[in-house]
Amino acid sequence: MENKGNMGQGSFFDEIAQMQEKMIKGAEVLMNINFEGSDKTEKTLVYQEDKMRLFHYKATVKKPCKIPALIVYALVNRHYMMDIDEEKSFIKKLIDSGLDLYLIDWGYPTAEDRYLTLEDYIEGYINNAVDYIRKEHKIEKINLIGVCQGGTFSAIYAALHPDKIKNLVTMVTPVDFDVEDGLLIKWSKSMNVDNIVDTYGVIPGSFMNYGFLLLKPYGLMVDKYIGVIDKLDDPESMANFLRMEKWIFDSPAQAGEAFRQFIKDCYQENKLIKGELVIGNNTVNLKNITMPLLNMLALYDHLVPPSATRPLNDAVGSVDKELMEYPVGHIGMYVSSRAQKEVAPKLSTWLQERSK
Amino acid sequence: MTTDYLNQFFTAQKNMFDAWQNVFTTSAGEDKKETKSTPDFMDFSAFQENTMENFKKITDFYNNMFKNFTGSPAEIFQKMNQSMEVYNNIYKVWESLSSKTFTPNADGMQKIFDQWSSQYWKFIEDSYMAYLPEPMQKTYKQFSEMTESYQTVMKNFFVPWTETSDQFNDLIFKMPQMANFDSFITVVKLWKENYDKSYKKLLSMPSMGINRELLEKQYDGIDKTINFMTTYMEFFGQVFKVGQETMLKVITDYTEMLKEGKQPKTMEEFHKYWAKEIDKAFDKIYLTDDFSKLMSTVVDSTMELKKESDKLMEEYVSILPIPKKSDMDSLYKTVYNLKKEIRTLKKELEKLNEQNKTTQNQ
Repeated sequence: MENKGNMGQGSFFDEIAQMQEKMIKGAEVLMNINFEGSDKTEKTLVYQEDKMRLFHYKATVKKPCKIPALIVYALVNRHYMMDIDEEKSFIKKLIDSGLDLYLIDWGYPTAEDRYLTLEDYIEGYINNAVDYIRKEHKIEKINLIGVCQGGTFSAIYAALHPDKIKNLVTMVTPVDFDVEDGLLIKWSKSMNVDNIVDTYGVIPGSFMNYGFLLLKPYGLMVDKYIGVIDKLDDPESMANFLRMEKWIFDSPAQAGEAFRQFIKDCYQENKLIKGELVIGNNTVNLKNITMPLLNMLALYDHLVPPSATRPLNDAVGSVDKELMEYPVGHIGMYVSSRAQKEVAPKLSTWLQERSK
Repeated sequence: MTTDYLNQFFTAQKNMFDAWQNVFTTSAGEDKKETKSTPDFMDFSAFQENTMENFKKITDFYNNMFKNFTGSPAEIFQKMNQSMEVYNNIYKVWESLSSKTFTPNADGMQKIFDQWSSQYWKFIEDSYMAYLPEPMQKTYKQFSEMTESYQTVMKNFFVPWTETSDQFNDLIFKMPQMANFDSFITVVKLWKENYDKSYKKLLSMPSMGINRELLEKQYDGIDKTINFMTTYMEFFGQVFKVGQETMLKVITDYTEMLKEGKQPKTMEEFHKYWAKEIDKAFDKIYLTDDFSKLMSTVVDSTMELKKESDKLMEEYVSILPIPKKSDMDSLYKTVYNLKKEIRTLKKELEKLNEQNKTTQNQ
């Protein structure tokens, strides 16, 4: 909407009239819009276990990186945010730059998955995926890229199996939960997680969505939809908006026992950074992470505050470690222009330099 | 025995009504056509005309009036005094109500009611019971004692509500006029506190009979629903309060900015400014410990409600030939354990196979 100068009645009504006009045109755009394009980068299903699926994205260059990388995404939301559309696909950018990628799709847990624990996810699914790749490529170690909660899982895995990981990349990853500036962390501390898990068994995705919406109630529930009126007559912008909208509310349910342990041990008792977290029969010691580490964070992250991410670099035993901070939000790390121009190239170069 | 008791009762009633009837019977004086509303002995001119006759009427009246009272004149006088006390007690109620110092609130009314009721039961016991036959006096006394207990229970039940009614009235009065969410939140909290002290106790009482378990689940469900509703009301009250306060701040700030010509110039600018302010306001309240606790309580009460309604639903469908969620959970647990065992065995088998291969190759 244009700036009309004075906020007199005339300009106000002009703006309302413009909005009405855009909405009328927008209705036609929405009726004919095609917003497919997410999760379209070519991939092959190579391994499956229960609902977990392992996909392979082959590098598109002649001489790809020798060490394949496994992307471990969070259990919350879906991995295709990294492949939201062809123009902005983070994954495509990585494979085009020479990385040979594997990605874990956690699927959509259902009632039968309520008893899955963190041990099942980390020592089971992740470990099996890592072993599959090692076996396929006949190598001892692979590269591991963890995203958000998947980054926490990756750090835990790397600490438990340093012999299988060549390089570790963590992106917008929480490791220190004793911080004051993250709302999710703050709210989780008072949460009676036992009651939630005992009630639901498997925590519905909609429950998670309400929690995320509450973080920015006006911005996410009202303002966003007022802002989109401006784009209503632009099919391309609307398609982008709708792809993101679909992704935001495409939240899988959470396996109850894993959710319980993650909230209690990490969010409430901050056991990971203290070296007290137990997975199966093993205590996780982050000092066991001795491989090179690239820790990437988003400065405007309202879900994982930078203060929860930074301490990883001091907690690990690695000598070769780097912290990269980008002036973007949590999702901006993957879908912004900066993601294409700075984040993905940095990640790819950093890994390839250490995978010779 | 029963016939005697009934006869005694009817005789006593008849005597009492006769006595009262005589009080209001018109005189059979000279002007018999005239209907009078007062007994003749109270008409002073008629009294003067026929003193003796009227004196007899007075004697008859008192004879009729007190023929059910036995015992010495002192006892009769004492009973008259007791009757006067009753009248005096009612007068005190009226006096208190019409007094300038009376505050027309629950507390004031409660005091007067307490004063009156204690005297009222004394009157029933001391005077009215004298008209009843002895077996019934016993029954009446028992009933009277039971009523007293009931009164005490009910009084205790309503104490939280009457004690806070002034506060309620005050807060509720403020709400519509000022859209005062502080008042709203306080009312909700107060209501919940009172509920916990009264109705909740009723709902938590142990049930009896064949449907005992179902009844208890239903009552628990009602309690959880109320808990859920009050917590949610408090939560949304807080959220609305943020909106209300922010709007007030935006209007005040806008007025200030207008003076300096620095105000947002378009609707879009104004909207952005407002959205930024409301985000700031939410962030501020969200980061407080109190709000985190409230969030937790809201989630908790939602879970409690869902758990109870799930239990009830399972109870209702238990007669149908379908598996319940709790049955399925048990099955899922078995499947989960079996899968885990198979995976472990599979891995061990793979290791053994590899060891065998290595041994064979050697």
